[in-house]
Amino acid sequence: MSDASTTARSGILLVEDDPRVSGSLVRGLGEAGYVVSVTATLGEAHAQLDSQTPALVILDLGLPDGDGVQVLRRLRQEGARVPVIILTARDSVVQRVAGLDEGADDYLAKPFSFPELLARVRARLRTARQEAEAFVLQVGDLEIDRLARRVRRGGRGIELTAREFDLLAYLAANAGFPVSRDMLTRDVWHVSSRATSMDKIIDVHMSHLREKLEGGSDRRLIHTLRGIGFMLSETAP
Amino acid sequence: MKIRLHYRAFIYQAILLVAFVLVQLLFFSFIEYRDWRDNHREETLAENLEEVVDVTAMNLLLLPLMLALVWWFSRRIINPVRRIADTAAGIGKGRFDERIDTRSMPDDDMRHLAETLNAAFEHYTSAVHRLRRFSGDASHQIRTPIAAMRATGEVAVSRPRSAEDYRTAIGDMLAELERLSFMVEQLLQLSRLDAGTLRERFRPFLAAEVVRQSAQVYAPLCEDAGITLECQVEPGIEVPGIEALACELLNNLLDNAIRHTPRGGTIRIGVSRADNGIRFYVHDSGEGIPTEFAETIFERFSQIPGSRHGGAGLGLALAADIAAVHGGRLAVANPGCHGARFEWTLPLPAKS
Repeated sequence: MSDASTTARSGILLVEDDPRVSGSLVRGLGEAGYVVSVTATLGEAHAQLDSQTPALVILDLGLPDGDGVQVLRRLRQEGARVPVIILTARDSVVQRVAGLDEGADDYLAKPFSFPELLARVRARLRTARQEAEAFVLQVGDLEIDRLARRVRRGGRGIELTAREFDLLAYLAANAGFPVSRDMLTRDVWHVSSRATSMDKIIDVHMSHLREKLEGGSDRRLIHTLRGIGFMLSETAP
Repeated sequence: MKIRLHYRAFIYQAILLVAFVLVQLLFFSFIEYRDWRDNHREETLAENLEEVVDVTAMNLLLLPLMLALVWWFSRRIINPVRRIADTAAGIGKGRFDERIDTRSMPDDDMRHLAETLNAAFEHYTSAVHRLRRFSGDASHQIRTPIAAMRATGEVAVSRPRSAEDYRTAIGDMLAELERLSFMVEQLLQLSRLDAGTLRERFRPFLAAEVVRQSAQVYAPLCEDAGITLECQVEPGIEVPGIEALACELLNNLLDNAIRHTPRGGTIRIGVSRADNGIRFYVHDSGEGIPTEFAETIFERFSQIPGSRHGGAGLGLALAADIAAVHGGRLAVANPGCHGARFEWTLPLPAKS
């Protein structure tokens, strides 16, 4: 996991007052190679920001001593370009727009899946480092050319439908990390409502994709993680 | 001070009556006086006014009788109001089955008022019953995944196991959690639709485009299930609304259709102009909707007994609410027939 090792030095400031949520996030993000410090109140967050600027801020909006948006406002007033991901239980469009207007980079409505948060954190830190996304992604002997929309495995070309390609490219961009069904629903199928179940559709595409990628070979590339989602990886999790 | 309505009606009418008697007295006296002044100067005024005295005496004698009649009349007129108030009070106290008795009422405005109120009470009562059933069903449906999660967790920790076993158990619990989470999302979406603030976000979208998108998303699923998906669209129809919601409506209908269509069957989806409006339809070749369920399947958590095809029974409720938010209506076009046909009809503003 080269991605994780290069970001091991980047500290994440997590502003979240619910210890059950922050406990799991610290552990999960820690295991993914990030150094996380937690503050549970606005006051602590401000104090923490006085002493050092983190590489990324994960911000819960409903804090006991005020609205988390104040942290965001302060960062932006000071001209800090730290990426900020907002977490909140309020998910109305108005709230979302308001958060993004204040200069948030991303917005996750609770309940969110951990793989999703992890993917957002990786994406934000990548953009923060101005890293260009590669056109050609490689996972083991699988090669995905995102510009020409061509896929080869072990030198053999594989024909995919447009949606199958988008799905594979998405899995490959997150290779080595789990991808949840919510992420696929929104990012690959572009369905924003979580009230429509895309599970069966995702399953059908996944099985087609597997057949085309792994047909004849006994080496699995797409792994199903029960209760979590899927992961593209050379080795089983 | 509280005055009963029929007292007030009585007092008004009594005052009118007395005033009438007084005016009559003055008027007669004046006429008799003029008559005496101009023509009968030879008689005394008192003699000339005798008739007036007689009439007044008669009036005064009749007055109690008239007042009694007025009393009876006011009570009779005001009685229905009291009955209405009593019934409303009863319903307010939770006796939802009470209705105003209109049988003895004459066919007048008061009866019309009572009947209108009865209809409103009926509506209110059924809403209350629906709400009660809804919260009962919701808690039941939420309990099921919770029970599954709990059982899985309890069994998993009851004795030492391999890491692989723990992983499976946690995975199972997460899958149940997913189900629960999905249901909460559906309920949230329903309450968002109920809030009725979505009209501000209406933008015109192309009907054909939504149908095509929806069909495209579900095509692989149909193919996999051995179902033929036919899509027929009339191009160029613009609909004011929220495209994502319209898509969600059709997706829910398709999801439902696929669950009820056997292998080898056909699902037709499309949109066309209808009399002064537009009609979206999803027509499957499944077992169809029995007539007695044609209305109730759109209720939240409703299930047709004996046909378990998965789902909590919120998809069609969501679809119907989305149709209503757009000012249209979702209905089963062919209840009792083989192969259910759902139609979303939507009036369109006339093109100027």
